Amino acid sequence: MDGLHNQVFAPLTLQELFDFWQRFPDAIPFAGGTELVRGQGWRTFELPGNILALFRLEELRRISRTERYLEIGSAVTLDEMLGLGKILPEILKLAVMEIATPQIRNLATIGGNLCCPERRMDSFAAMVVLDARFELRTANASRWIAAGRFAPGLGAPVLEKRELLTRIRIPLETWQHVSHCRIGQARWPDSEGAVFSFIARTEKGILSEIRLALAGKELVRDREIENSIIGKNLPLHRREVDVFNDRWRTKLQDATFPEGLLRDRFLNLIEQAAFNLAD
Amino acid sequence: MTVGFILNGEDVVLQTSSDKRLLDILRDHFKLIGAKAGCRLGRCGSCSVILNGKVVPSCMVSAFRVRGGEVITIEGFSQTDEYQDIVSGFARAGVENCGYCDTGKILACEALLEKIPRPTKEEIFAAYEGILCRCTIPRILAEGVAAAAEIRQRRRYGRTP
Repeated sequence: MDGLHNQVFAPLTLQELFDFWQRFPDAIPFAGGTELVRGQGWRTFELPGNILALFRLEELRRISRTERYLEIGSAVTLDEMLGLGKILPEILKLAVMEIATPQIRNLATIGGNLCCPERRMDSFAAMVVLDARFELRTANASRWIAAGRFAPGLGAPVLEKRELLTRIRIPLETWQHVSHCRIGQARWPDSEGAVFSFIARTEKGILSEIRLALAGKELVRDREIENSIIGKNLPLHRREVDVFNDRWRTKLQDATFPEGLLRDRFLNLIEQAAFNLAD
Repeated sequence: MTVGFILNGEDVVLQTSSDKRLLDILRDHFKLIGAKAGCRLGRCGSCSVILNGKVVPSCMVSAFRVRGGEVITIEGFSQTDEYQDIVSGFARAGVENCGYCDTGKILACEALLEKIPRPTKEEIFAAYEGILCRCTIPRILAEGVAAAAEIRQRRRYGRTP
């Protein structure tokens, strides 16, 4: 504790963490801290008055794997995630590799990345298309929420008061077609940009599953449009791709996000990904 | 706040405020000026240090983050055989010496070679994304890292696999 500056609490267990949070409701969780100190070029940091340092919580740093799922603690660093190698789904690997620099990825955590609205265009779209689920915990309860419902709109995620993202559960499935594209400024948050994530599975020349999402100011995903193209023979006919693209065009016609050039880029990426399915 | 950690192999304890950067603690308190105050935004890599075995920009690390951890600066790293491998490799390839970016270049090379003993050119360029260097052209830097990798392999195993 530092009477003049900040009060830092570094709990060893989640119980200790929630006890402290109860006493200091304004405390801010601090895992890698890269988002909190980002852009502070001056000599000392401007930190919150009460800090909940998460880096000593072993429970949040665990990585486990079952036959069907990969579970990652929210305080696992982005570099540790990349260290999982082939276990990590390709789309998530591509997304994480595009975040900041290797040195910052040694500090930044996946939980922080998902919880910061400014970083919504990093790994979030990949989590959504993979149908990942997030465990959110309070002192007395825990709940699981689908990635797509974690932060559906602009701004902060749907965390309740003194609720913490503790675990991320990612289904381990095989995807033959993976495409990830960042639109806008590379590697750093960009309020005008977005991230496009696309995965697809084919079986015996038939498109058996397709998922795509665009994450930026808002999250764009439509299961109904995705389902409309499932079951088609590959390679897709020009007309089938046009119909698929027109559905998206109609959906986004009056949307506030994406608009203008970003919308055109999104539609082009969908078209390109659909044509690449034959490769 | 009291912060205790291992600095270049020695236990150290100091009184500081939690909003201080590791970079400033190293430079002002311990007079270890090998980590340079470049952009202070974590983008240039000139303040790189090894924290708990990982290369991080010390300007992005607050004082309380290092409590109980281990920090190796370029001064500490320069006492190791691994450092000699890298500077020999860099010298062989003609990598420029620079007061600012050398720290980042050397520690980024160390981080890469510990992870991938024989990196490809693409892996080398990816590892150097966080290092701003205007003194050495990327091709020569890649040759320097490859030479360092070869020297390290020879020192450790007596041959190049």
